[in-house]
Amino acid sequence: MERSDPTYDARLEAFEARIARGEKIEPGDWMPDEYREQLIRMISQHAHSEIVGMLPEGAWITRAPNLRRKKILLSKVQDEGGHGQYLYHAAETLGVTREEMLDDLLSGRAKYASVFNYPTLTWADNAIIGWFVDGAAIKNQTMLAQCSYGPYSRAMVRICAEEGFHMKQGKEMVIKYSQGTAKQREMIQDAVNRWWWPTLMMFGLPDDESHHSDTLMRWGVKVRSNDELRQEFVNEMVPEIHALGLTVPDPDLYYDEESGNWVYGEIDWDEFWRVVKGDGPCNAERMAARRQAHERGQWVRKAVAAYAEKKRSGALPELQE
Amino acid sequence: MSKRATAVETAQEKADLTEEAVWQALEEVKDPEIPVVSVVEMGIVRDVAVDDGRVAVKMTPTFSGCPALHVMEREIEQKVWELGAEAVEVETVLYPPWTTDWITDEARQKLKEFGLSPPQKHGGNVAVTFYEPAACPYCDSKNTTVKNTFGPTLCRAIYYCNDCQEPFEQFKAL
Repeated sequence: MERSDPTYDARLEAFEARIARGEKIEPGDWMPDEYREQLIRMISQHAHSEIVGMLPEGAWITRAPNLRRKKILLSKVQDEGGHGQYLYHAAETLGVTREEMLDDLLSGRAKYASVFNYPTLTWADNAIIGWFVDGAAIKNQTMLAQCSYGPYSRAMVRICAEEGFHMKQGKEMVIKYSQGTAKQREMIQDAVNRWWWPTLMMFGLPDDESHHSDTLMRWGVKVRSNDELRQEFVNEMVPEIHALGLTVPDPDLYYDEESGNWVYGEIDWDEFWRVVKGDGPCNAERMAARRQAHERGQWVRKAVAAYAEKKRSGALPELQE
Repeated sequence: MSKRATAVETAQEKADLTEEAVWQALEEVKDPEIPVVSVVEMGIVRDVAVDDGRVAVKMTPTFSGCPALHVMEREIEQKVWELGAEAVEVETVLYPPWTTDWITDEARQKLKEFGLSPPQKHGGNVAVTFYEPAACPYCDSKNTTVKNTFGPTLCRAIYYCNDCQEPFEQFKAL
């Protein structure tokens, strides 16, 4: 639907009125191109993040300290794979194909959560990822559960329930560590120190620099701002980190009585951009792993296509049910 | 408080601690990944026995690799302690294995509202096929296609509804 279309303005008005009434926009409904494009960008980025997010933790499955922890990690990584698949399907309802999305990821055109470009150096990192990274993701996704696009919002309701479980499991591990030996407390503090800032960056650019935000808020795709969600996360996490006898790696952090906020120091946005643009500690490794997986699956795609072709041409006998 | 009053109170708590009260309390323990249904509705809690303040609960995990088993055990224990039990024992029973037929009708409805197509009842006659038709939980259409035989968990597959054009998950029958 082009803007030059004479009915565009009337359609846009009706579309915005639906959103203002709190109605959901469903696949097949009229929507402005920009709404469609922004949603494809967000949902596919989210899907890519789930898939790439399997890598840092997946590397620890074979090194889990016991069977119970192994089962938990295995299921968590499978959850992420399932969320990724589900979200790719949700993005497809907007007219983009799986092939296009994968191509965008593998060619580096599409982004994924930058936090996964940091390495998992010890087992304690899995605990912190569950608590911090899933915790931050839930903040964002709880908001997206109210977003105006039906399939995305409904997917988020279920995904949030699962992420909530991951966060609980991560927190339980952090508590265990913080009650452990001096060496274990040192390990968990080290993980807190390395993951705190990348986690805060997950909420995206500050409100005054976030280009997408205005339109996304008006169309009900986002209902809360980056800074608002980030502040809420900090306010919830800081007292809990302190309660466990751990510290936050921010010398400027202080509690502001008046606003009731934990005011955090300056986020290193230069680092953020470096990592987003591909120069983080693990960008190359993550993309290499994705490309290798894609190449190794090539024969399956070929076989499926050949089978479909044979079936179409009638060369295959009908399957007996 | 006098010793006598405490004794009376304890006696009262014991009288209130019936099997029915335990079943009812366990309705509040939700499936950690599907918080709309309880461990009772899912057929995970198999048996409750109360003997003079001592409570024994038997539970059967949905899948032997279930990562939520430990959490459910702890939450069940916690709920029973809150009722004033003197001792709580939660035992995991693996046989007979859990089946989706144990999920109550109310829970099936709740799963559907949550966007999960509920498993069909099979009466023990179940074949694990990955192409079982699943009804769309949103529009009830049977015109659906399986997309991934495993979803976020082993117990779910991902489908796509060709009518309302929405992906959904199906809870596999087993």
